[in-house]
Amino acid sequence: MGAINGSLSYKIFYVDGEVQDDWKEQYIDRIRSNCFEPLSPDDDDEISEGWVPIDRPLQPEFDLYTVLFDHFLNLGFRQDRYSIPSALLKAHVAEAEREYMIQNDKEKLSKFERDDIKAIVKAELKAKQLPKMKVTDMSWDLRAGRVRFWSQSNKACETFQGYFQDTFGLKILPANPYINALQMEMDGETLEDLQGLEPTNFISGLE
Amino acid sequence: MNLADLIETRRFLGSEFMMWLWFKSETHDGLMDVAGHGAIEVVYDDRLVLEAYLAETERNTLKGGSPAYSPEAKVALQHGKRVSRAKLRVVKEGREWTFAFKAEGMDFSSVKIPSVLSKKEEEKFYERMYLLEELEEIMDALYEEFMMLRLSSDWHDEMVPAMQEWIATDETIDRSWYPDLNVQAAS
Repeated sequence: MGAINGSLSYKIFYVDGEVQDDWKEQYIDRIRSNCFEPLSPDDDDEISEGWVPIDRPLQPEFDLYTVLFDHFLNLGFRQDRYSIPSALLKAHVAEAEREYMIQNDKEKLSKFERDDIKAIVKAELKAKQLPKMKVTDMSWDLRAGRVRFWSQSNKACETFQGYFQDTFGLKILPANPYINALQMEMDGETLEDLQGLEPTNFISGLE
Repeated sequence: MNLADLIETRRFLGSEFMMWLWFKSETHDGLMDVAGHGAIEVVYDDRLVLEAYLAETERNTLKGGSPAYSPEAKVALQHGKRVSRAKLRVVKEGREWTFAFKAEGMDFSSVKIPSVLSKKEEEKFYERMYLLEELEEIMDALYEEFMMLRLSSDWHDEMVPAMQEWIATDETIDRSWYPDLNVQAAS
């Protein structure tokens, strides 16, 4: 969490582009079509990600009232993942292969058979556990064109950046010294100067 | 150079900003005029991390007390290390924010905002956002002041020699160490 309660550690993104006039209906539709869908043990997917209401991660139903807080568009970015320890999977697969060979009187298995057994074992193990759930808040200040995302992990930020763009059709740029400098009004010459800057030597006499 | 290269190759500006802010805070006893915000207190608090440029493994993490005023911090600077992150304290009109600021991504962490008075969830959210916005605006204004200076001839002519002297000295410094500049913060 973060936007409403809890720790205030976040990453700022700047929205590159303008929000369209009819954004309300359009964005609600896009959020709905990119909302979180729970994982099922029978699916091949081991990861699922999508939007949830900011304060109700188990209830992926959206309307303007749930996502819009004045000029802030708030959502939770939910990422679920099955995580089966590789040693455990390997041991179960080896056991299942052994049983299959005995039952079918075989000394060797084809690649197809091995893949099939592995998929069945994986589904069985997935059915015995719940996926790990992670929800990260995001708050988009529509007036300022600024998005706050409550994680600073590079991987989480990259995934979020792509998902945001796919949902809203707008690119977002992460805060960093260069992008923050671009937020200042700059003419072409100053921009060239910025791009040509070299690090300063703060130690006199040292090169 | 494409955008990704420009982002990567200009990351040093984050630590230079924090070095300048440290120098300005120390010479001004923490009190400075920030464009659009008036008199603001900006001080380095009780955590400071210094890293060698392009060698992040050479790192000094100083905690407790006022590490920015410690001999260890000065020695690290004299060895060419730069600020990579620091806990900062910002005070405006009696309201105080403390937070960790990371130079590389200009990121805010563990932000403690002035007390939130609202009890209702939605109002609490607005209050938290407005207080974050206010802090970000102050830091943006300071960064803009730094960038205007960094892009002017005053940086190399005036500011860098003054900062070099500050790094080299063990003396306590005051307002007279901060150069009079042609570049002024936008109001």
